[in-house]
Amino acid sequence: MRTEDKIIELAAKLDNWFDSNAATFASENRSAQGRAIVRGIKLVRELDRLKKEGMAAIGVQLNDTNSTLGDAKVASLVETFAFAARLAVTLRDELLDTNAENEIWCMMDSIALALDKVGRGRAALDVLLDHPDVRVRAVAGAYLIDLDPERVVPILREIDEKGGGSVPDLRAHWTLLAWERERQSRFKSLNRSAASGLE
Amino acid sequence: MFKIWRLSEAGPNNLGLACTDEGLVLGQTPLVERRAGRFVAREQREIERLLKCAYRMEVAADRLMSGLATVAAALNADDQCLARIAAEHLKLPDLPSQEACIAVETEDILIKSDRRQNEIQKASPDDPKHPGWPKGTEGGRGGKFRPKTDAEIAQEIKGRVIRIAARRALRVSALKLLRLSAEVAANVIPILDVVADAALVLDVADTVSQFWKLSTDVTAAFDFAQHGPRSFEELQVSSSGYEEFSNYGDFVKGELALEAIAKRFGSAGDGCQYHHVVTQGGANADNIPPEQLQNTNNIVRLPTLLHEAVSGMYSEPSPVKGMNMYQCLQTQPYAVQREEGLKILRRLNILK
Repeated sequence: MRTEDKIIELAAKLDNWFDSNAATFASENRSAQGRAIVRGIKLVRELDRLKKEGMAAIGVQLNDTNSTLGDAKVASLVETFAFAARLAVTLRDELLDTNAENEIWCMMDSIALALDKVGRGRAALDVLLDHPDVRVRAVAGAYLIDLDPERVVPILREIDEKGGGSVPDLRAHWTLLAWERERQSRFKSLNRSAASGLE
Repeated sequence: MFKIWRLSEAGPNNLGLACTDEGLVLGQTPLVERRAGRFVAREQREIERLLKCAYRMEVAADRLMSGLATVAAALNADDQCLARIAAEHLKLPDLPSQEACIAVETEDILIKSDRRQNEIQKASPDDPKHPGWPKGTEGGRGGKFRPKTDAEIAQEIKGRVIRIAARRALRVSALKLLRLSAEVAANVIPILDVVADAALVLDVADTVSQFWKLSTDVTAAFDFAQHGPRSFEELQVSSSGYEEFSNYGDFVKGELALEAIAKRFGSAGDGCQYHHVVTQGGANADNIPPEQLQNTNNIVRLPTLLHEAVSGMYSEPSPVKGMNMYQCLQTQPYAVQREEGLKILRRLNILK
């Protein structure tokens, strides 16, 4: 099972844990309450472990982006970007973990910047616009909207209009809002940050 | 070499088989349980799931099922002696550790959750989630399941979305509390897995009271979800027309402005909070006149967990590096901020 699927499963277990212990928490049985809390802590530790593992896996791929990137490395970075998108959205969607989400977005920034230095540049990410996973399409669109708006805008609009209150449709909506109002995009702002020495 | 099988005494530290008022337990988990006033042996696949967790190996439970049925029958006949003899003949070893005991309890929670799901699937035609044709419907369809109407489907989806939002916020709160507990436990015993009795090392009472508060928040959010999205008027704190509250001093200190609202309308109520459609802090505190922020058209009442779900939407990374959406939206005119604020409420199906 993939890391993000394991996180979704554990999040559901956390819900079950809360529901099934409501009566215990309402009781005076301190021993049962203590045991319930220990079980919950084990779930939290498992979640933390999965998150750490996932972020470490992305970090490993980023470590050697300073050397010349061959085709194989580019393909590997694109794959890592897709994984990072899924992980970021899952942590945010399932657990409202915005700290982890922001950290992973910084890693995706680094991937986009590394890709932009070789070959087709960050256009290498455009294969992800056809990715079957909406989480990946929405995030890839955020990094490519200024590069190929004719292709990206309809993809994001479709995700936005489907709605549902999840992160991908919100991400699509806000990427479109910034683009349509101010021609603003994530990658443009990355370049500005780099130029002003903020990177 | 003889192995002597014996029952254990039930209790918080029990790891063996024990007969209790609630049935036959292994550690803390029932293998024979009371349902609708009678003792019944649990289904074979449930027993197998539990024993797999207990002993960390596949266990074929078919050899145990007749013995468990005997225990159940004896308990129903109030024959404690026979129940205990039959239980000993199951020849089940004690659980190897407290950790295994907790693992079995956790698996039991999941099994019961699966059971609830299955019960929902088998609901009667009267169940609003699975509606039926009324008695006497032509074509002999009376009493049979009927397709849901579009309105019913929409209502169900909207309620589900709100519940998901509340769940997410709930998980955050639960995780915070559990992390706090984990820190306390780690300070006392570095390896949680060897904790023999968690009650001895955790400040349980304090944590439990916070969970209890969280339960109130959950109830408020789910009550809200039951009735689906509201009109803006229904979310407003006042039905008697537009009112402004602040002067410049209130505006500069947002919390004072909120206190003023509380003085006029009272607190938002158990499990609820006030929410500003156009956010009141950050750059808005300097750029938008207080009257535009502290008024009954901008302040609505939401269940706390839904309010947290809405706030979470604003903390998303924005298209501008270094800014989240809360900060990014505040660079936009008031009308755009209001429109986007309302869209978030609609996206979560809080607002019609």
